[in-house]
Amino acid sequence: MENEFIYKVKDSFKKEYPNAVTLIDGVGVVLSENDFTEETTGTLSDPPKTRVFRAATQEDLKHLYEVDKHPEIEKISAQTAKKAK
Amino acid sequence: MPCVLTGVNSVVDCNNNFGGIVKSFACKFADITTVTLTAGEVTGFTMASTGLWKTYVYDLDGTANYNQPGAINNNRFSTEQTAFLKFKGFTKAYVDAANNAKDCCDVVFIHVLANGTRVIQGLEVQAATGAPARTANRSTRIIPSLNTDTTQNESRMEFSVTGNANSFSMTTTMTDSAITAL
Repeated sequence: MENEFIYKVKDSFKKEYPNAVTLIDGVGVVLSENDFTEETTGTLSDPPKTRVFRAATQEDLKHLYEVDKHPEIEKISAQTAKKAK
Repeated sequence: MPCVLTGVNSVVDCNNNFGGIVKSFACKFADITTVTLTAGEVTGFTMASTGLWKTYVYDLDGTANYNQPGAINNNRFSTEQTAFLKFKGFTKAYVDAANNAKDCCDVVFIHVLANGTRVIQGLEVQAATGAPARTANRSTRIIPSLNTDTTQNESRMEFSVTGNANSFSMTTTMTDSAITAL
């Protein structure tokens, strides 16, 4: 447990942008714990739409942190995360 | 950026290389929280929320373009970046779109070139993944025009998108579906 890490969205960012969305393998993924449903009202040329964005998984956050070097993702020990809850 | 000269040879074949732009996507600068770079190219954005990129499909009549002439004043380099987009017609929807667009202080466009390259107007070049940097010398904004013209011609809405930057637009690998997935 001591050497286990988790990846998380920084609290300050999550507070400012609760529905922030980013790309993972060409798919829009929200940086929050829960899926997000976007409802778009229809216009004369477009019908109404509903899109569901899945919540980022640990694997997604790891990719953002390790590969993309995303500044709003942090890597913390599982123990610290547990204490913070 | 350091001084580096890179050799260029454009005489590899005599195929046409079509100019102009064929489609654009736009959002407000403030809607982008992070720009993701891979090997100097933009490979993604983190947006403040979903559905913020809007698609602009304009007349495919050979008038749409995006130009970045370089200029130097004493030893100070800059580039005036201008895109021209034309939408035939004149409707209430156009009036609303024009009135709303003129009030945006700072916008970012992804232009799809006729040759397939995609460039981003409204951001300065950045070295690594991080917060976006707006065009340094003058923010990028839309100057809309609504013209009826005469019966011999067509009524139309025109967008002139202008800004002044210290660097030429970055390219992006993002496809249409990737942009609209955000």
